[in-house]
Amino acid sequence: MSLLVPIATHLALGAVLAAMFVRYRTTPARDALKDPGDALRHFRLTFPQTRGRATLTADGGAALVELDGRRAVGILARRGGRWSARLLEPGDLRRVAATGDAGLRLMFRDAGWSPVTLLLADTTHRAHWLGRLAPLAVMTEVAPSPGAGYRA
Amino acid sequence: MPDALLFTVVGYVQMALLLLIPLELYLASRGLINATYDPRDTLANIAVSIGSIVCWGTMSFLLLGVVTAAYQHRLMSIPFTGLTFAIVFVLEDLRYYLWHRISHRVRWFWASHVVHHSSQHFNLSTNLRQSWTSQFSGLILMGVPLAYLGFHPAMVGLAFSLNLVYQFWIHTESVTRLPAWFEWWFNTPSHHRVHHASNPRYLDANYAGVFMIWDRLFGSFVAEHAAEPARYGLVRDLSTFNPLRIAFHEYVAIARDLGRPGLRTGQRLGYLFAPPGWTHAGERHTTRELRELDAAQRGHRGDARPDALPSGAP
Repeated sequence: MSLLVPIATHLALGAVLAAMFVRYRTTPARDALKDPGDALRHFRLTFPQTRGRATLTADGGAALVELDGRRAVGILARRGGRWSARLLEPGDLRRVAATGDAGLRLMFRDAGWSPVTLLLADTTHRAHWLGRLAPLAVMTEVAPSPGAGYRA
Repeated sequence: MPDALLFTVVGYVQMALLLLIPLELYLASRGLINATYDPRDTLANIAVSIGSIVCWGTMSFLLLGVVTAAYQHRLMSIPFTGLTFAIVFVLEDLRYYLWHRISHRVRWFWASHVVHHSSQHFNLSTNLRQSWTSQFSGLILMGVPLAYLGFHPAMVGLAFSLNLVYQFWIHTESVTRLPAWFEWWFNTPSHHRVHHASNPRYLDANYAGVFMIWDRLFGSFVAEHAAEPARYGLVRDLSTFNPLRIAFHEYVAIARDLGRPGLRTGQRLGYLFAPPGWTHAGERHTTRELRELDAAQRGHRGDARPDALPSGAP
């Protein structure tokens, strides 16, 4: 069977599903984070022992977590209908930059996370987190790759 | 030899199964079954599948070459009959079990297989999220023994295709439990939800393709517990719908680890062939360690799997 047949079938399937996604809701409502406690609750599903303080983005779609006694910073981000959490260790960020009024653009060194833009509540929060995250973009050592190989 | 028509039929059956995806999506949208579809996740699955088809299709000569060479030096010639096909189907399922277990326990092979586990959703479209690099990883050598034994490559290929056909329907949350005898002998949605789960107690379990007996025999069976719903995806979340990132992120992670300064040769080999999560300094956890930590919190030994031993025939 030619490769073209299954590829064409997949493209047709994609078109059908895309049309259905327009017509039907099939994922739970994407609730925003309600408060810092809610962010920590989601974060602890991946990192159960986490202690710290969370800062929400303005839309409640992400949070940065200051971890007690650690250089690393936690990040929680909504990706589609699910939450993704990770630690940011020194060297994990390729680049962190201010963007827009109160935004932060994070680019990661590993391939497991696409770049994210976090719109914080105000420039004060942005300045704080920019100062906190910028050192993590400095390659002081080769840090472990957080997305890597934990799940078998 | 199996007739070429058989392969054509199986190929069309595989494509016809794709129709079950919009059906599941529709029934879920009406609240008739339990399934969640995220548009971007599902479309990423389709994109990854197309990449997988291209890679498989263009590089399948590698597998064919290896298996054909083994068959040319076969120990005996086994005819294609109903009985011999039943035997090769079971043996091929055992090969699948071993391949699957190695794919989870050796990081180099995990880097290829991780693609299939990278979605945080579990529905029929998850089936489509398949590796792009399985032809290159080296595990195609596991196709050698059956051909060397004397089973024609076409017989083995047909058994493999039917194995994959069977595995399509078990990627669903819409089927809770099936009759106990069926759950005991065969892989089911319940068993496969455990396999795709990232909850520590469910890690490294239920590798079977069709026959659950392999997991029961080799101690890797874990039953689904109603009190602990599966959380799907990786222990450390991916956060991307980019098919290239999905297909290659673990190779990038391996390259980063190999680039650490001052490693000895043994440590570099560890980053390639030790279980996923292994590091020379111990700053990450393997899945075994995660299970043990979780078990310690629950108050029993992590390597003791209460569900691993056959608890009695149905």
